[in-house]
Amino acid sequence: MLAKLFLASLRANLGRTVLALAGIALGVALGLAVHVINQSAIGEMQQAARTLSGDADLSIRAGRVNASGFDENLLEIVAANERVQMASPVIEADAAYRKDVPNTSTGAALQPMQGRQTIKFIGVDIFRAALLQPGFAGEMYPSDDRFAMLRGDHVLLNQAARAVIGGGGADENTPRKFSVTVGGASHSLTVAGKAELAGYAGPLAIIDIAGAQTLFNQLGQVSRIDIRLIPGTNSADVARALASQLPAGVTASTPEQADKQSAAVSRAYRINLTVLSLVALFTGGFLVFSTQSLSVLRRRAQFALYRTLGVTRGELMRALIAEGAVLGCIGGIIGTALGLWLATFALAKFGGDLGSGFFAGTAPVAQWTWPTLAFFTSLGIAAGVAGAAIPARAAVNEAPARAIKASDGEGATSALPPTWTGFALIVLSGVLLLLPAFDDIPWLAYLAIAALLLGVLALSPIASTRIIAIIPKPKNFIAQLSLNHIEKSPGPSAAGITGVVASFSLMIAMLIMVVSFRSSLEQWLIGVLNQDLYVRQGNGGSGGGDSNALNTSTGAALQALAGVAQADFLRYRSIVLDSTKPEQPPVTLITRPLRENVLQSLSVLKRAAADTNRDKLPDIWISEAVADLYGYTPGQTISLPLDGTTHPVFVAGIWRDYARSFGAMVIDREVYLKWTADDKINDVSLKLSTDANKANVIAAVRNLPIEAKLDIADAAEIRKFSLQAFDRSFAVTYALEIAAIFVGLAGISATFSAQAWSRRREFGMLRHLGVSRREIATLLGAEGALLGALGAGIGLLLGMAIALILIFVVNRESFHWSMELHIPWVTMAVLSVALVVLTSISAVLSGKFAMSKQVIAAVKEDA
Amino acid sequence: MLEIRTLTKRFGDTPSTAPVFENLDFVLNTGEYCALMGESGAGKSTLLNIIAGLEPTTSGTITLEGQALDANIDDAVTLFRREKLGFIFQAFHLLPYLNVFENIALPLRLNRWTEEKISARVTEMLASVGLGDKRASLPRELSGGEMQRVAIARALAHRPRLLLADEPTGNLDPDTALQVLELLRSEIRRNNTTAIIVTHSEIAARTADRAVMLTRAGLKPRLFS
Amino acid sequence: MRIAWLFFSFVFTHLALAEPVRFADVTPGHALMFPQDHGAHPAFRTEWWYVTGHVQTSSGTPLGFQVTFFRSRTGVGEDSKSKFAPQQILFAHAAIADPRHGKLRHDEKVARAGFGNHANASTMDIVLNNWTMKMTDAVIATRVASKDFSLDLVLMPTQSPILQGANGYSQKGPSVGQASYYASFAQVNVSGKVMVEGRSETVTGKAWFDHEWSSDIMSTDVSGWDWLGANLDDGGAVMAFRMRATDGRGIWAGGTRVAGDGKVVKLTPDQITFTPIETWRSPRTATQYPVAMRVDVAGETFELKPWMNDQELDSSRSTGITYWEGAVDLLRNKQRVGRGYLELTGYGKKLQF
Repeated sequence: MLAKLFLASLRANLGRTVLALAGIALGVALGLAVHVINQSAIGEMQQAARTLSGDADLSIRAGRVNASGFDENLLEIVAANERVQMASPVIEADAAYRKDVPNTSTGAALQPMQGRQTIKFIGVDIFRAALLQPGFAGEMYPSDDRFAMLRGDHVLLNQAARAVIGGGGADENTPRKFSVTVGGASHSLTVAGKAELAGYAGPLAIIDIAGAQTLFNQLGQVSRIDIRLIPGTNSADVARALASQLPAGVTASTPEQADKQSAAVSRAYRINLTVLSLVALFTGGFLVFSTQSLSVLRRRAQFALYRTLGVTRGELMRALIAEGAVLGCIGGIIGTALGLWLATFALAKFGGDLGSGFFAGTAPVAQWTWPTLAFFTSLGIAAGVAGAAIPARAAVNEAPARAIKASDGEGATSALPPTWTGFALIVLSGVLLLLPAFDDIPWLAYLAIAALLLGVLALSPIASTRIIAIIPKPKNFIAQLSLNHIEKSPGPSAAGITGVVASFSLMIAMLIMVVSFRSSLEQWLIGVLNQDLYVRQGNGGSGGGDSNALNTSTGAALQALAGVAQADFLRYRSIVLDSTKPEQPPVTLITRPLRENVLQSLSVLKRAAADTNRDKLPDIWISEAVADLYGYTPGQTISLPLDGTTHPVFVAGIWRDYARSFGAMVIDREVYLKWTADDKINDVSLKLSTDANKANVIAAVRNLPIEAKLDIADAAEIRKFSLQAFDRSFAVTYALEIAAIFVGLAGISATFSAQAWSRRREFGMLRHLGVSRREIATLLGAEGALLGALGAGIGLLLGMAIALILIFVVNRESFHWSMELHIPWVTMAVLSVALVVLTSISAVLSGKFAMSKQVIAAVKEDA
Repeated sequence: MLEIRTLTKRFGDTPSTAPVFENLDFVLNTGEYCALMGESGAGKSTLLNIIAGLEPTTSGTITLEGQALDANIDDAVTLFRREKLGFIFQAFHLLPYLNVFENIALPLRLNRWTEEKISARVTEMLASVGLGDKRASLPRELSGGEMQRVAIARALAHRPRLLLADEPTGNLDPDTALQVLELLRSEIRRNNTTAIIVTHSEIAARTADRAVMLTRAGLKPRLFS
Repeated sequence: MRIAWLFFSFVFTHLALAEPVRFADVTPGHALMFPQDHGAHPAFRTEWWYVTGHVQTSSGTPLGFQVTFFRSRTGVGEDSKSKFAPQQILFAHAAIADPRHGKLRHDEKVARAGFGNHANASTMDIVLNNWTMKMTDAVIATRVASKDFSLDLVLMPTQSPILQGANGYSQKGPSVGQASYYASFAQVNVSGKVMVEGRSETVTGKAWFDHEWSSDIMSTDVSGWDWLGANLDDGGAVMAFRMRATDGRGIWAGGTRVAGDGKVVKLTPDQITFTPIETWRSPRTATQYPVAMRVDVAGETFELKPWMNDQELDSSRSTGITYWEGAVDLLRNKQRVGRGYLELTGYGKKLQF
């Protein structure tokens, strides 16, 4: 019986019900969409990696996949292990496809990645590899040459690769020869056949491993050894046994561990984004709170009647909570369907990258599981229940005798929690902030933000009352009426603005964080890019891929150009600092000549004091991330594992690095060359002499008699490009915040439409007294503006507090970098004004009923 | 001061709907205190609303202090109402979030009186309705009778020309009702206001100068023995 | 699997495609020196070490076995600096003939030389993915482990090596240069362990061992060969082969007969005849093999009776290259006088490249 009555009530206020449903649906949809997009992107990445390793039980790698390799002689040691059934060495490297057309050297200095096509090359010993990944054997085109597969310049291409070189249709249409550029030189390759690997969608070329070693200049090295163990062997045991034989920096990991490692790189980003996407849902919960508060207030007399008739407190409570659950459930289901559609659409249209660049170039299919859907639907239910809980409790605690006679809102038990709850939550928030990150993700910081938000919201009615009491009484009667109304009945008003405060404060917080981040990033870029021109091989990314490296002769040629005062050579390597943690992504080692100007370009935050060790050992400068993750401090002596040997170095200082959240370290190039024979160059930075003409130098670089297409950019262009990438990566967050604001505004709207109804007699009386329709509209607008101003004020303060948490705790613990606080006062002021205007308009539009004719008749109604 | 001629009111557009009343004639002289009686649903409140300019007429004319009333010109009527009329409702209708002082001051603020004038007048009204000590109280702290007294004060604070009271004692017990009626009458006299009281209580009607009855046939005088 | 196809193409190709690789020539008059020449000869195109034998388990079960290691020089990557360069490919084959099983149990491996897999040039020492064949002090040990079976055998030659042909120069065709260097051990004593289907048993018996290397042995009109290597019960041995044309007629033949007293007689082509007596049709490949043959060797006639008909090695369905390598009994006048292995190649599709 209760159920029917309650459902009838939901239907009766269809508008508000739909609004609450929409709020929850939107929240769930956004959260699910972001989650699915990220999961699909990660899933495809991991699947691609697994496909290349085939049926391997273990894989031995040094550093990140696609980074520098390790000694090929390890193959013999590994294969000799009696539990190893097959060990397959692999070289994995990218080469740029080069169309055989004459190279025109006109155009802008900066040539970003567009137009460049990379093909991933997998060099294998087919006799070993075919056992793990039969797809590598492929299908040869008919030919008289039976050794085609073994020749070092013959490849098998998959469909995507064939499309790159201009094939893709029938076999006859695929060109049989094409060229790629590697390390500054062009190489001609023959297409001997095709190979398709289900699960790998990008352009792929299979080549003999000897050919790969020659082509990519990796003689003596392999990128990876994939291992198949004798059936029944425990992978972890073998991994441990092998570990003792592997040199420093080289680890054996299972596919699951490799998955984790590839996911680890983007993990912090993905989790932060998902949490952010749940802001809309969080606000949706407040929307339910608003609408439920209002509806409960309206039905006070009804509930009192039920109680008098014998319905118990518990039954009433359960029924009200169930109302919230039903709202949450329906909203959740709609949201889940909407979210899936949104994710599928976004993946198809924009690929798997939401702006971070981690997943650029992927076009995954939406991957989701039923448990994921169930989880997000249940989040919707949780939001509904949470929103309904407090009003339910208030309704249930009413004394029936009083309530049955009272008019709406008169003397109602406050639906808001007592003051001490608010303070307690704020204290809790402080405590949570002191606790460290768990599993490298600042879960507790998120909880702290939520607690702070809830605490401040709980205190907002009292705060509103106190604030208004301070305001001097205005002369204008409309202003006075609106102030008085909010001062004296803060309950319903506060319920209305919770959504707005929540979403606005989070928006302000994100704004401050993004602005701080951006300005810190810009400052950092200006410092780091203190040379005039930057040159690298035109094949993209400096992730340590040796196939992108230039040789010293190219470097010398650049240095010798007219107009170049100084040329600095940079080399990047990926190294694993802690081999006991194979899931920890590797650290980037940057080698460059550590001259004074270079040291100046490092944003050094902490320096080591003078120390005797300093003179004996080479200096190493570590980024904040390295200090955070590995606990190194300036003045410490640490061991650097490089190519199987460890070198003691002196930590000279900590510098700020926004490019690599898993750590970077800088050492002098001369020191590096002493340790290794690796004189390859990844980047060259050029300082021009004072009378040099930049355009001339750029032209000279392009006209160098080397095969490679060089990427040249000047500092300003790189800065612009980097900031664009930054803006792109946050674009999604802006969209999410705006969605949340609208959900918040919906709360205002619901509140005012409800109040227009419940205060109808009041408005009727005012009409009788000679207040015109327009004046009533103004009254609503003023109340809306006042609520908006209160919300904005509380939201601003709260937002600033949350921004501090985001900057100094969340960002620090997620990405291990620091930033300078930068508060965009003007933007905040503009946004606050916008909010006040929006809430005012919202109030007037929603309170239309108050200006209708029916309120006049309302004065005759029984109280 | 109030003249009604051949007033007809019909709800709805079609002429076939039965009218609430038709061809009413009524004259109220300045300073008169008239009781308007009739059965429930006879249209007393409607007539009041028409007089207040809140309802348009179907046909006929109303003239108030020489000015024709046309409910269709909302702003003009509203301003007129604000300045020249006062209302007392059965359900009191005090604003719950304003204290007694502020409730009484409401029409004065509407009419843009200065703060000193407002303060003086409200104090005066509070004294005459005997609620001087309840100045700062909120409506929920008052009894029914006290609330209606505040309503009386509010209705007369801005010295309206015409006071319209719709069943002012409907929600009060008999003793309080009598007190309120007495107060109403004395305040009407003191402020020199013309007044119409809608009631179906003979006792209430007797406190007025004269009574009329609204029936199907129209307005008829009602005499008491 | 294409792997086996590769093997055969390596072994038999003499159509060196656009590869100006100079393989070493097999020339008459070259003296073979042992034990060095037991090792590998990487300059030559093709080489194999091949042992077949008949053993008996402790419970009296007769088993036949074959283990062969191949080396092939591809001509690819000769200039490469990479240690992975596929200059030499190693291939191995192992089979057990168990009449109880009805057909062969066999396994094969292939790998490029390097990183643990090698065929040593100075001594017989071959390692291929944990399959090994190694000679130490004139004793050869071979280990082969597979999913269904494994062999751990010690082979002790009782005689000095037989230099086939003219002091090891074994002509394979009418033209000069179509020849191989070829040495054998007959009457090799075998001991060791054989594991079949999880059960390991000690075995003893007799084996035949071949080591052959060449660069160019087959002319274009040859479609395959028949080969027999057998130990006779009287202590002697016989090896005979013929190269066959597509129409089945023999183009070339050769062989060696060792008498019971040890006297070695080299046979000329006209002294050898292989006559098919019975053919068997493979249910898998539909190839007809003359599994029962009569071999005339310089006037002696031996009848070859296979232990079982189905000793076909169907190593790759995809390319259809199959051959028959089976344990046979040698009979004279219906009496068993010896045991050996008969190899029949080229009966399916012509060994086509």
